[in-house]
Amino acid sequence: MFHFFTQTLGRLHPLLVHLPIGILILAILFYFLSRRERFHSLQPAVSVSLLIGFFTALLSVITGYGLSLGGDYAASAVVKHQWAGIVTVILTGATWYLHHKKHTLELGGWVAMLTGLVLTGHWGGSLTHGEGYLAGMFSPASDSDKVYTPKPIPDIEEAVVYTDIIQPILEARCYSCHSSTKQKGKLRLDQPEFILKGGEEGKVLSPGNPEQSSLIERLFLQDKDEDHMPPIEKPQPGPQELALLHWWVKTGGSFTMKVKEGQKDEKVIPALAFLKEGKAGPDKMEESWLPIKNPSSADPKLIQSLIAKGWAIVALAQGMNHLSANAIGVDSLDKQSWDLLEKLAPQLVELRLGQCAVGDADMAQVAKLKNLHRLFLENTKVTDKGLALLQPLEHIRYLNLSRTQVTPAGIKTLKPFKELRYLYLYREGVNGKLWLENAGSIPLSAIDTGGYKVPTLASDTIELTEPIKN
Amino acid sequence: MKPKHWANKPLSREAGHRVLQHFTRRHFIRESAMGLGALALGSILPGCLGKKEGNPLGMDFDPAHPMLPRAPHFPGRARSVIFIHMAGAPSQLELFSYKPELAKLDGQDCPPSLLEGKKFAFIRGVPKMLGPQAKFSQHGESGLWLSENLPHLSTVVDDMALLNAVTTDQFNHAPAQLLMQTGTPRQGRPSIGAWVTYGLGTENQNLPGFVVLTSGGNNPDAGKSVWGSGFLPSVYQGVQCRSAGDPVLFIKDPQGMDRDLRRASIDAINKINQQEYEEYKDPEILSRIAQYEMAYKMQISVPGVMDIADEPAYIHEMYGTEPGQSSFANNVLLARKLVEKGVRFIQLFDWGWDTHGDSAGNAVDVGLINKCRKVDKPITALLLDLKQRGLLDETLVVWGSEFGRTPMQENREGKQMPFKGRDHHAEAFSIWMAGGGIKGGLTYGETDEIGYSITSGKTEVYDIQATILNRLGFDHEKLTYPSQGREFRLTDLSGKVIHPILA
Amino acid sequence: MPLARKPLILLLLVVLVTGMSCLLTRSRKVDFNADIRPIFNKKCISCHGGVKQKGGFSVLFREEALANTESGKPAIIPGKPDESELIRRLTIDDPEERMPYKHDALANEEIKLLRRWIQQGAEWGTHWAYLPVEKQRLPAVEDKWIRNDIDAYILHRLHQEHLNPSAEADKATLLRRASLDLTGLPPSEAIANAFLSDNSPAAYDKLLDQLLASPAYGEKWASLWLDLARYADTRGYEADRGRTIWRYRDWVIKAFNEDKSYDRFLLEQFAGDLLPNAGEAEYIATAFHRNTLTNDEGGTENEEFRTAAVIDRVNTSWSAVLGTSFNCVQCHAHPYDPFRHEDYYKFLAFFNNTRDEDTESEYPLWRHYNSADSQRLEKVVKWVRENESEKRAAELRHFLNTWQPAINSLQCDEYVDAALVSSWHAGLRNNGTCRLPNVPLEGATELLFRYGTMRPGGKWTVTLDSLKGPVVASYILPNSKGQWNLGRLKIPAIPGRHHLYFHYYHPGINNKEETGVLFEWFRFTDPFPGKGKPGYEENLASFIALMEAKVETTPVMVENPPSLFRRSFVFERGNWLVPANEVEPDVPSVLNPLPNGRKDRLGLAEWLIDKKNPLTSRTLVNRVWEQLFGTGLAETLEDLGSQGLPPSHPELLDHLAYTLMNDHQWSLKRFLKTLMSSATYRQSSIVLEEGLRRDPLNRFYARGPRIRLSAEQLRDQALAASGLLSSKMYGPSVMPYQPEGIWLSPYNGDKWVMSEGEDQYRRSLYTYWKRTAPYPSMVTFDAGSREVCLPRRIRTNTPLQALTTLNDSAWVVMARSLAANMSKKGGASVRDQLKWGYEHLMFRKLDKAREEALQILYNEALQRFRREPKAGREILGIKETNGKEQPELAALTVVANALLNLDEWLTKN
Repeated sequence: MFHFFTQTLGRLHPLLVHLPIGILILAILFYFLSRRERFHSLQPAVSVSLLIGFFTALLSVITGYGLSLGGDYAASAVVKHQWAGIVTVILTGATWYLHHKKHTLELGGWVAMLTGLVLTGHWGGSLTHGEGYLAGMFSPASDSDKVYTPKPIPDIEEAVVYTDIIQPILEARCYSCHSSTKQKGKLRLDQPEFILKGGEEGKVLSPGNPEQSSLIERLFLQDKDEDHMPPIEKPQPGPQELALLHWWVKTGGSFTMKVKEGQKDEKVIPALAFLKEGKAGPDKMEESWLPIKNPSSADPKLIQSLIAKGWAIVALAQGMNHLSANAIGVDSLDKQSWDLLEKLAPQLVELRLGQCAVGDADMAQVAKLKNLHRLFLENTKVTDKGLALLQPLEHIRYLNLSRTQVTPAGIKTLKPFKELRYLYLYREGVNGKLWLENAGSIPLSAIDTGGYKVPTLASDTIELTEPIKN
Repeated sequence: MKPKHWANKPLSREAGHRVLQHFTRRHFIRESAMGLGALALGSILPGCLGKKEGNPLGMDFDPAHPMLPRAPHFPGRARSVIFIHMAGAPSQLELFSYKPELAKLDGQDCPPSLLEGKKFAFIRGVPKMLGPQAKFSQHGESGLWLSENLPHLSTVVDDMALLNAVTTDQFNHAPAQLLMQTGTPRQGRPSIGAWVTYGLGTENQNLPGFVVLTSGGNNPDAGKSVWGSGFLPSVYQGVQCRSAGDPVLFIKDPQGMDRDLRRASIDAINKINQQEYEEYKDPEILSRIAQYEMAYKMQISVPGVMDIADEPAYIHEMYGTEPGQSSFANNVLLARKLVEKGVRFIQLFDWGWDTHGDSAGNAVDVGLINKCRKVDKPITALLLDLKQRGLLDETLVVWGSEFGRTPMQENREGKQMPFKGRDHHAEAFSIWMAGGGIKGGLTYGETDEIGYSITSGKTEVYDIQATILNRLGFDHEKLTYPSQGREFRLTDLSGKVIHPILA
Repeated sequence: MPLARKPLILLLLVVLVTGMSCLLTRSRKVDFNADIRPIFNKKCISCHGGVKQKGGFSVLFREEALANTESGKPAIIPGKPDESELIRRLTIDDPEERMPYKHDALANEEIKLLRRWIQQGAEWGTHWAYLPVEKQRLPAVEDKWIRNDIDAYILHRLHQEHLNPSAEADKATLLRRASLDLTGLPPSEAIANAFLSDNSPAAYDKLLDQLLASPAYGEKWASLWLDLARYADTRGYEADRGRTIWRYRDWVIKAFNEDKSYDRFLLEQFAGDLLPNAGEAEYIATAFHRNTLTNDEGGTENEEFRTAAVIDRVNTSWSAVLGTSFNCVQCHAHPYDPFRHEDYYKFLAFFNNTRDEDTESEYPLWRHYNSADSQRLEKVVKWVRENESEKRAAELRHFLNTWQPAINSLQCDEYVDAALVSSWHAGLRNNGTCRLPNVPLEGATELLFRYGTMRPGGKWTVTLDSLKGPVVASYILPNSKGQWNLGRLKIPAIPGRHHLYFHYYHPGINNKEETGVLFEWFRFTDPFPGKGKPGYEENLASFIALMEAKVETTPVMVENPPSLFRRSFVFERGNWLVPANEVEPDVPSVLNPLPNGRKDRLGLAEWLIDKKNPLTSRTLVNRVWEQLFGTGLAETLEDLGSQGLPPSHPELLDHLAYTLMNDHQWSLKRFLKTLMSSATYRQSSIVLEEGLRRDPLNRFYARGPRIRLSAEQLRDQALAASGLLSSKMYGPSVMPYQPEGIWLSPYNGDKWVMSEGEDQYRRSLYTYWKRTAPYPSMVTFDAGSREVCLPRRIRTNTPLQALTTLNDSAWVVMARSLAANMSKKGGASVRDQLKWGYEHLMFRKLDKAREEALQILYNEALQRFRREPKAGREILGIKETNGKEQPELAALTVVANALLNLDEWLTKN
């Protein structure tokens, strides 16, 4: 019997509850309408509907109790809903009585009943649909996964590092557990003095050396590390946020310093650049060479036809529309290929022609691919002439010219390439110095002129038969 | 039994997804069927999506083009991988792990604390400690410690991240090799190369995406399963190439059949197979057609790329290669050529590093040195050559083995071995990585003063795998494949990306 | 209106509603196996199972899960979800406490299930595969499509999935399918014609009978078993030297052909040596468990590899016969299934008491005498029986057949100026000494021993209990000229067990390094009986002759005599060097008990084939099904345990298992016939839109099987169709054509020497199987290396397979032969020749489209070979030009090569 009660009757509850709600609302409607002259005829319906409402409500309570015994729901969570339900039933009964007796308190009864109904319904709803089910409609993101969205700081150099940059990050990433509301580990980060004070494990900030500041250290721990912050379940700060925090502590963790006063490293520069435009920045530092804007997605047909010609065309990542094109599997680079590529110019950020049969003539075509950031020409017939044709490619950041016909003199034409950072020039027999002299004025972070040797040592060819005595 | 209980994927992924929500770009991952970016792929290969229903793999995967390149989860730093596995386990104590204290203990009895409850392949009773049989010194700007056994590699330490606290739980070669290469000590799971080609496809459809080269006179102890495809579609298994004889078995047409005739015969075969597909509608037939096309293309491109004779003299000088021979050096040079040609994953196995000391040939002060001399120059040449070709920063080079060797001298049957040898040691060993978004010139992880157990920076085999996948642009927890009723992944249930060594 | 009646109506309503709902919902009891175990296995067990018990909590066994955890209180309190820590930890917000730790939270549905399950008392259930096989109730479906019980189960499920079965395949397809499944070969012309021309309903039935009767049947099904038995012709590990064990392979073939019942089949392989009056055949059967690897590597610990072999016997028994991955229990309790750590070693104890000790000669070996010698043996035995005793006669027979029991010299220790030479044999240098420990002399008066020396005149002294002890024997060893010799010595009768000390002295040996003598084994016994009795001399002579006879051998299982009993221990964390408690042989308690208390291999074998054993029959049924349909009813043949995939048709699986044991009495032939008579099997394999969408992998069998043939089937089929196949059966393994440079074993000079004559074209299961370098084309088509039991071949599809069938010289030769037949038998016109070729292979008419494709290829080839006669000769493999060119034949060869590469040829439709 018990089992029947919990399992069978109980499982009717979700169905039954809707009856009293509907019916009683109706009863209320009837009641207020019936007080108008026009709807006076509704008068009798009031008490009937109220009574039916009462019994269905009663039935709901009974079945509801059965369900709660079924064990699916945390008893604690059920309590409120359960009692509200019972009270509502009583109120309904009372209201009917008052109505029947035309008692003066009748109106109060109606109101009380309505409130009971609403509360019971709400708590019931939360049980099945989870907390904040309704609230969700109004505030989409709950504070736990608050998104970090910096405001643009046009005059970044003048900004105060702590107040304008660091505090917003801390607010987004740490306040939910370390502020006035909560102090996990007895730590608050919402006021300079609290930050300096530290938590139960002592100081969290050691000005000047991030490595000794657990505030920073714990951000950089491996994701799955016990002490990693924020807890892996929470949204994680992006690399540029880390860079900023790191930089702030490195430069002394001052609460007043301005950006221009701090000495900047190569990691923080792009981060500040993003901030200037109010961008959260990419989620991986190494992508930062990419144009921030995700181009509109390319026409699949174009890509299909290129693939059919042996081209390898692939997006740089899922959900990104930037494309990379590789000709390694292409038998012959014909006019049609170039036309198709030109149509992909907006998306095409990487072009690989290494080892392929391309020469100066083709460079004119390449020059049309305005959005190229990385260009691979290694081991092709390209000469200085061809290189000169590439001027229009203002975004070029990576250029591989190793084992081409390009000469040291030729790379002078690279000067206008403002964003060029990586340059590969190795050519057999050409002295590395020559390259460097000519590349001198280009602001490169990596240049390689190759020509490495691995000398054959005497020992390389000797095969030991016994330990070396010494 | 209700199958639905065996795969409520969407639910279990919900939470993981929330973590990613603020990376708007990554929203798309959820749309992907197997973490393979249906959407990204869709925008690139609409043709594939059509096949979804008919496709036994249930992923956005065109049985006719299983190897087409696919986008990773996020932009990767590495485009291809060269994994150099020294089968047999080189001694970290004579190569990478500098232990002056151990020298002092040389010849003394091993303290029992090190032996309790430990399994050794050969050590019996109480062995003697064996001091490092090589001199160590610091190299490069980074001042990395390396032994005199690797004079060439010492010149490029500033490009290497040296992991000195790697650990495994397997103490026999075959299972340990399987764990390193497939994420499990037992057979039947896909190798890392298979996972990578499954995830990324490959850029040159005329070559296999995953090539295996072996040297040292023998295959790795665990046999072919260390480059198998396990439950993944078999096109992703490693293709073993040989640096002498036919580069790939049966790659040459029969005598008397020229290319045109072969083309004609494959046309006939595929025409009839197409016909059969019309009748039977079995997707496997499409796959067969694709394999025959691939075979034809391989026949042209493989012999070309596998012939190192066309390399200039100075390159041979650099690597110490001799065309026509079968040698580790040749395999290393081939690896570079394959990377240039867009091959995704190249796996090198060099057999013969099992230095037990039962003969001079495998003593740590004789055989080991000889092995080092065979690999030191070519590997160094590889790093420099990749560098000058602009390939190093997008090619991840991994050098490693299945486990390390004991600080004690091996004493088989309780007897002192005739030569200086070390037994298998699973608890701590060394691996290094270079290029492909790895920070150069740093050492990560430390062991105690005798190199027996780990004191910091413990690195599991799974962490190595997670890091390799990360450099290629994959979240190792999301590159999954359904088998035996659950989502499998390379790193099984563990794996942490080793952030400190990422550039 | 009067309100009094309202309540009544409402009450009525209540009763009505509740009454209805009763009928609607039967009691919703949570099913542990279906609902709870999957959650545990996926989300909890990696930290709270057999391997780890974090927080002292494990969900593997009920008693563990309800026991107190480290916190001091139990995590599950039956009936009280709200007081159960388990639920609290699953629902709590704090990431530090919430389980699964640092992983995604459980889904609400899952948590509700767990709540209700605890509410209902947190009952555990036994995994389906460990429950006994019961007789099944046939699902109530009526349909004229149904041919036998199998179809009822299949159709029932199809209806649930809203699928319809396919029509029967055409006769030609059926013919080829059945023939490949039963014989691994295309049907012979006779059988084919008989079937195709016979339109009586019984035709198919006859076909099956004919195929089942063919000797090729045994060869086909043997290759399945050889994968499981990890049969190979080499020993494995580094050196991977050869092993002569092909007689076992032949035994398997014969067993299948004579339809030896599966229970007997297992009984003989597991314990043939222990059966009453076991003969040669029973002993050869036990070679099943001698297919283990042995390591000849210098300096290896023989005991380690003996242990490894025994462990492999355990693992193989479980994967092959019980379809369960038992390996993990070697190091810890099973992470998912109810097997405990010590269960593994109790099971291991069954195998741990055999004579094999990783010796270089792989003792114990069965000695195969020629017929003359066998008769001689019978005579000697008879004579001893009559003149001495039954017991002695049996003992001598056993010795002559196996040289057992004997003590291997690798048991020696305390070497001084002596050593265990390359970990094989005790060898003594001049004045060297060593010890043979703990020898059960028990009053033996004769010492038989096998030794080898190049130096005549070396003196071997055996002393008792110490080097100074009383001399047991002293003997000048005759020169054995580098061969092994058998020596016989009188020794004084000494009771009990003793250490024997050996000393070797040779005046002529000055080189301290030179090993003067090697010993292989010692046997302590009594002289040949019956001295003085008539016929003594002659029988003694026969005895010695037989004992010394040079004979072929096969490694077999031989149990230790009581005097050499080997004890068994649990190995801590699987480490054989850290033995813990001693264990008795026994089987896991979740499964059926030992049928008759017998705690040896015979008892084990009887347990395996006991009808109460839940796994043996299910495993076999599943395997056979997989052979026919491509996937098992439970896809994971290797693991029916809770980590394996649940079966698609549990009732059918049990039905088949039950009928196999009870109706078919374990007869495989009868079982196969039932399967293949079903309408399910006879369906056409055409994939229909509907079927493909709803069931891409054909797990519900709405269509016939369509799978690529196995490595063996492919090669054998091609050999047969091209007319090359040799029908020769049995005998040593053969070496067909293989490219250079495949064998790469260090420390081993063996070479691949191509066989002569018909041996090049034997069926594939006779091909020499080298573990470290198996026959390449076989491996390309997914055959294993046979180092360990291979419970399932995963079918693949790669370009390398295409390259093999296109270019492998072996396949080119087949194409040539096929082409020759096409031109001979096909008729005058090319058209007819193409038709004949195609139909000869596929048993179906050549349609327009195909013919056109072939014709185009033919013409192209013909032109080329007309242009370049040399190319034509090369295709035909003709060196010297004997005047007349055959461009037509060459062109046909190219076509034949294409035909042998068609998907419909490589596939079973």
